[in-house]
Formats: sequence, structure tokens, C-alpha cells
Amino acid sequence: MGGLMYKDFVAIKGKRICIILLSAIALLCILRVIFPGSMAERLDFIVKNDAGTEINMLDIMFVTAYICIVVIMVCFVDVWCARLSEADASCVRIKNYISSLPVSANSYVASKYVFITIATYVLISLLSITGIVLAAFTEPGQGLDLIRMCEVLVLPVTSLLILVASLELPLYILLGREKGNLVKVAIVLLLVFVLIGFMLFADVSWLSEKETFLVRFINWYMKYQTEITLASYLSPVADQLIFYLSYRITVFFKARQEA
Amino acid sequence: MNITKKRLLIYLGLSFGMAWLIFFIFIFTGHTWTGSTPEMLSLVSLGMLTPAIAHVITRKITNEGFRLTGEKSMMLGIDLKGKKWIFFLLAMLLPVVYSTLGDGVIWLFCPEAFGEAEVSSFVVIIYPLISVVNGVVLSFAAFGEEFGWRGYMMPKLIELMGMPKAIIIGGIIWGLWHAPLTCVGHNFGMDYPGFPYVGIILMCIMCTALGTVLTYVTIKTNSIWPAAFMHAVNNSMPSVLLLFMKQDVGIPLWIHALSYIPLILIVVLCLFLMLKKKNPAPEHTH
Repeated sequence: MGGLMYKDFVAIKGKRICIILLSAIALLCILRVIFPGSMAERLDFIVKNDAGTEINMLDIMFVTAYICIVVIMVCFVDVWCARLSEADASCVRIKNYISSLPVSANSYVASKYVFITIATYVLISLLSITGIVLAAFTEPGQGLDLIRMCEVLVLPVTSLLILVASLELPLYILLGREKGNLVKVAIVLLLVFVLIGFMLFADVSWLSEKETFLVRFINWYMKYQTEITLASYLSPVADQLIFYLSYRITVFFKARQEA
Repeated sequence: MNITKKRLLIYLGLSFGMAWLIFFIFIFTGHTWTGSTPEMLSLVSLGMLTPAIAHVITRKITNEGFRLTGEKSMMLGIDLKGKKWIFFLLAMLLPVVYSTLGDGVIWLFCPEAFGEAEVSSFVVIIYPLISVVNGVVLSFAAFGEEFGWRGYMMPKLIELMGMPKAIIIGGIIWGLWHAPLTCVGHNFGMDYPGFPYVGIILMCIMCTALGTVLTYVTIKTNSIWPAAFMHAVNNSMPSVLLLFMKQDVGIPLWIHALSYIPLILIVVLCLFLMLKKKNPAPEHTH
């Protein structure tokens, strides 16, 4: 299985991605060390908003870059799920390709899932390290609050990555890249139609009283803030279960395809 | 000089050099463990990655190669067959057990340190699970240490001096590696008799104890991952009794020391199992 995973690493151009990603993160961290939040006043990077609160734009710049990295990493996993089967599909059909391998179809499927798990772990670790370095050189205020929020979001982001992989891997492994993409687009369209249908026909009177609804929601959130945050920490557990179920389903259908 | 000893010295030089450089910058810029912001403490905690970096550099210098699994490898593989998954599960759950029991000992000797929990019963119930999840998902820092200590140093020490000595020496080295931080209040604070020497000695004892269990799970699974997970969960303070602990009550150091009794019991069991395996009973011959 190690060989299969190395093949996948080559297929997603892993070495090049690693170098680019690590260089970008290292550059961001070095720049943050050179330009800490305390330097903003000297560089004239402090602005005041309408309420008269001072905003450190230097910190905000780095936080924005950090949020961009978070988004890019989520996209990476999405792209990789497709790339993993793309390389195999180039061998005419995945079925023919698997039958030529000295491993079982189960191991083939498992290698994809393990690869995505490792990739997610590495991405999340890099994200956390970047967050730690940026936070250490950010002045207390809006910037630091945003970074702290991002750090809290690391676990839900992990869940999202696992969830994306749980849904996409079966599609790409069982159907190949082209059909997988088609099904993915169809699912997204279906969701959009459901949303439009809901907006058209369901009772959305609460939207007209959105301010009252928002205030009620914020009050509810503030009351149960700790519980909600902690419950979000448990989301990776639920997602691991979904990930495992997705693996078992893929193995089941792969075995039927093989037969 | 023996080649293994030479390699070990290169690794230790790099590991101590890089980590202590970070620790000393932290100290000489006027920071202490108790008086710094959580952000600055997290930054210093990245020093935990230096044993991993030292491991990789040492392998490059000494041309040992970068095999992921097998003999003299970096032990990065995960094999769950043959009931090895039990050790992974144990590694994640044992810190919850010994930490909670340890805090139970503190409660026994110093009940005034505990009061009402400031969080809801829901939080109290799920707290251990959160610690485990948080520890495992964000185990990169613990992985950094374990990749170095268990993945490189311990196999070399065992090769040089055998199991029992290796565990003691390994624990002392690991404890001394933390010494600069112990001197600024890491783990035991700065307000205890014999500061900081007693703290450094206690840290060495604690590292020897924890190191024994970590070495045991590493040997049993031939992988550093359970050790990394265990170390991470241990660092995420999984004891639910912490929620009931008052912040302003100073607990005497001797009571802190007593709280390690549950861990030491596990250590004795691991040591017994390791030595039993190393010295199998002579077979009866006819």
C-alpha cells in the first residue's frame, strides 16, 4: 500500500506542492517576525473606524493571508480527491488498472483513504503552526481575535476536509474522474434547486424580521457559547465515522464492480 | 568511538542546540512561563518540533537513509493487525485515566484546592473526549518530540546499553532538555522550595516515567504514532477534575509529586512486561 500512496503523491505533484506551500508559509512567518503588530504605529498602519476604534491594518493584512491559506488548503483536498483517480483513469479504465496491480481492490481503495487522511493531518498541522507564529506577533485587538477564532476553527475545518473527502472519494473511485465530476455538479445543482424551492415556497417570514431573529440567535449563541464550541470540537469524531462508512461503501461497490 | 554513539551524540547536539536556542531567546527577552501570553507560550512550544528536525538532519548527515518502516527505520508506519490497534486505543485513553486518578490524589490530600465547576455538566461529561480529540488531531507538536526521542534516541540507547539503563538515561536526557523552561516556571511554577533544581529533578523523574510507557507502546507497535498520540493527549490535560480546581490555591510540590503515583503504577507494569519479554523463562528440556 505504501507504493500506491507514493504513486498518489507523485500523481498530485506532491513534491512541487510541498515546496510551494512550505515556502509560502515560511515567507509569511518570516515577514510576520520582521513586521510584528507593534510596528504598525511606526509604519502608519493604524486606522480608526466610525466607532473610533483603532484597527491595526498590519495585523489584518497577515490575518487575511492566513485565511486565504485556510481556504486554499480546503480546496487542495477537493482537487486531490479528483486527481487521485485521474492518474489511474488514464490507464483506459480504473477497473483494468486495478486488475493489473499486485494488490486487492480493498487495498487500492484503502490507499486512497489513507492518503487523504495523511494529507489532511499534514495540512492541519501546517495550518496550526502558521496560526501559532502569526498569533505570537499580533497585537491584542481585532487581528488577534480573528486569529484566535481561526485557531478554534481548525477542528471544524478538519471535519469539513474529512466530509468533503468522504463524499468525493467514492464518486471518483467508483465512477472515474469525468462521471464523478458530472455527479458532483449534479448534486450541487440539486442542492441549489432545493434552496431556491425553499425560498420560493416555504414560510420565510422570519427573514423579514431578520434583525429580531439575529438578536435571538446571538443571544442563544452567547448563552451556550462554551457548549457550542466544545461540541464543534467533537465534529471530527462524527466525521471519522462518516469517513469509515464511506470507505466501507466504496469497498462494497468496488467488489461488486470487480465481480 | 562507537558509530552508534557518534550518531546519538550528533542527534543530541542538534536537538538540544536548536531547542535551547529557542528557549533561551524566550528567557532572555524577559519572558517567564507564568507571566507570558498564551500566544507566546504556544510559540515556544514549537520548540517541540526540534527533535524531529534533528532526527531528519542526523539521518542525512550519517547517511542512515529514510526508511519509513522496518528495522532501523523512522518507525512511521501504522500497522493495526494482530491486535496492535489495542495499543493505539490504550495510548489515547491511558492519559485520561492516570491524569484523572492523579488529580484524585491531589483532591485527597488537598481538598481545599477544589470547588464548584464553573462550567455546565454537559462540558464536564464531554471534557475527556474533547481532550482526546483535540490531542490526536493537533498532535503535530507531540509528534515532533516522539519522532526524535522514541524514533531515534531510544533505539540507539537500547542498542548501546540495553533496556532498563536506556529508559533511565533516555528519561534524564528528555528531562534535561526541558530544563531551561523548568527554570522559568514550566510545569511546576517558580514558587517552591529548592527552585529550580528540585523542579528539574522532578521533570527528569516524570520524563523517565512517561518515557517508559511511551517506549513500551512504540516497541509493541513498531510505530511512533501511538506514542505521539499519547504524548499529545497527556499534554492536553485530559483530567476532568481540572474543571473543579481553583486557580488561586497553591498546591504544595510534594502533593504534585504524589499525583504521579497512578502513572508510576502503569510504568511498573510496562517495565515488567518489557523485561519479561526480553528475558524469557528458560524452557524445560528433557
